[in-house]
Amino acid sequence: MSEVHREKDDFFVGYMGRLPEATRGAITAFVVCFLAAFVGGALALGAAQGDPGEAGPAGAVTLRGVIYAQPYPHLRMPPEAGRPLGRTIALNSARGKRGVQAEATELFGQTVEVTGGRLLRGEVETLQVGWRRGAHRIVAVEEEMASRLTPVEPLGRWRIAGEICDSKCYLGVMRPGRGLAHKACANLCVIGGAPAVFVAAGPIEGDEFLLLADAGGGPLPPAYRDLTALLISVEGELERRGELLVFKVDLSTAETL
Amino acid sequence: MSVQYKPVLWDRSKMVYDAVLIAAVGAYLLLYLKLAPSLADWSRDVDYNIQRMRAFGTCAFLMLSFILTIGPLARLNPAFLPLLYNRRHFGVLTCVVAAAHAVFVLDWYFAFSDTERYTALLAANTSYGQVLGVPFEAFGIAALGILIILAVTSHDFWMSFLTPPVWKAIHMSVYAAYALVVAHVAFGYLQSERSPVIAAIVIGAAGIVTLLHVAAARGEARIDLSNAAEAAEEEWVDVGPVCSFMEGRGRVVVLPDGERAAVFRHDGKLSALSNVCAHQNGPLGEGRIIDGCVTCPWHGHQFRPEDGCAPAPFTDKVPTYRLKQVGDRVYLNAEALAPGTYVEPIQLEEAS
Repeated sequence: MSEVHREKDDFFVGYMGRLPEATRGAITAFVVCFLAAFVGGALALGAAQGDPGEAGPAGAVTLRGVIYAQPYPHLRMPPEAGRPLGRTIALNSARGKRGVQAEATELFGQTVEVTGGRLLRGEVETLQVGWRRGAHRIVAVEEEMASRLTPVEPLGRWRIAGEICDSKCYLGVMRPGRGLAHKACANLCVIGGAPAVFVAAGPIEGDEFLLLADAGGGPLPPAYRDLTALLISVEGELERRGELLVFKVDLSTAETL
Repeated sequence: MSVQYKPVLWDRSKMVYDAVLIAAVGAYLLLYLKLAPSLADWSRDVDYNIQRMRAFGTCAFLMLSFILTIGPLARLNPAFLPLLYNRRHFGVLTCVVAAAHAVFVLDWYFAFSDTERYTALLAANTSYGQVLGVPFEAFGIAALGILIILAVTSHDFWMSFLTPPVWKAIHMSVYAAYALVVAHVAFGYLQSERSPVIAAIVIGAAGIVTLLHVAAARGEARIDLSNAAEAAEEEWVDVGPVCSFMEGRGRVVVLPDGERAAVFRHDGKLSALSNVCAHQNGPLGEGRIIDGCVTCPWHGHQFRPEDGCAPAPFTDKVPTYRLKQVGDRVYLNAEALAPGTYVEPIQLEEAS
């Protein structure tokens, strides 16, 4: 074999289609590492995804109660056996990242029947109104219910640590429906009308799920968008409306933890 | 090599290369989406749509990390050079996987809203003034934009159209893309997922890429130092003794102005030409003489040693240099001649 031919044996030229003997060990090692990294990486990265929590759809239901529009649409029901404060539910729309403000504003304070799909996370629930095509959404009914509701109870000023989320994703439309990777989606949901909620780092008056409002009791001002999905502490007035806590926050007091 | 532009000039090497790539990507996606969830400790499954965007996103990250190890590995050990041959297909496939990730994100996190999804992507989070919560999507958009430009211009037509130096400069932006991808992951997924496994893999991959580049750069600096030609008189520089040039092989010499020349010995004669291949700026001096031509170690492009011209019907040319032998030493005139200039090879007279 001439010297030139020997040189060819350890020199790779792609279009000649042959892997030189001298390079086979290195290339084999790389391919093995490459395939092992992809197989191992897929299993490790796939299995390491965090638990999104026990949240998600829990069937359709029709509820009767008094509808409120502020700070975000919610439905209050009178006390009943086992629920002395009265079931209270934040209302979302089943039609994507939207809310039911228009209906809630129109029917504010009236007794209504609401049909929707429940979303449940532990004991916290919301209703996705208009959960299927053709299903009626929110219908006023002839029944006086407002006088049977428990009164709104002021609980004083609090500084609470937690995370601003949108109620729809947090309660299971997206799993996971919280965290910084989900921040833009949460903002988009709240912009669209999904009730903004504060998920407290620990129980507050027995609950970790608080409906958010601005200091005047209306929906949050746009400044909340910089704080969504971060662990923050913020001050505000807390009040109880049936089973639901409403946290009227002063966003200027917010601190990132 | 080709005299006409075709979408892909297939050969056996490329087919094997692509088959391994597709098998790896397919296996990754399949295992991530089908097997890994059964190993996870979840109260309820992560949404399939979210799993899918994560599968494609993490796959693209690993692919880009591996792509960036090939260059330094080939610098550290020429046995890895075959991995360079079809690296552009690796890059194009990475771009496709990254684009799929972006589409799945758009169709989930930014869909179902009254705000148009591209508008939502840019407008839903505008917290650019803070570290935590910064719109990490912007890093991903920028990285994907670079990857798309690199994929679109990866064909030889664009290299010829843009000229190799411009093309090379554009394609060096793959490092910017990787930095953006790391930022995208670090400020997004890593902030949401607390698993040390995910953090370890991301940091480990980025660390290996960085370490290999540092090692390759140090190795290059050492080689440049040892190959540095010494100025002798006027433009002539001493490039070493006659015995330092092996038959059929080249030697890279670093000229006083930092340029590199490749001196080849073929049939007992020496010729010198630019070290920079006219194709993708590959290091010609690390190539071999095959069929009487200097053959680039990256993609096999060939040039005649005496005039730097590609053999007919090809038309590429590289600059040449004049050589002379004085005693046992070889001298090179550091003034590069126009690409394709014929220079009579010097017949070596070895000291007895």
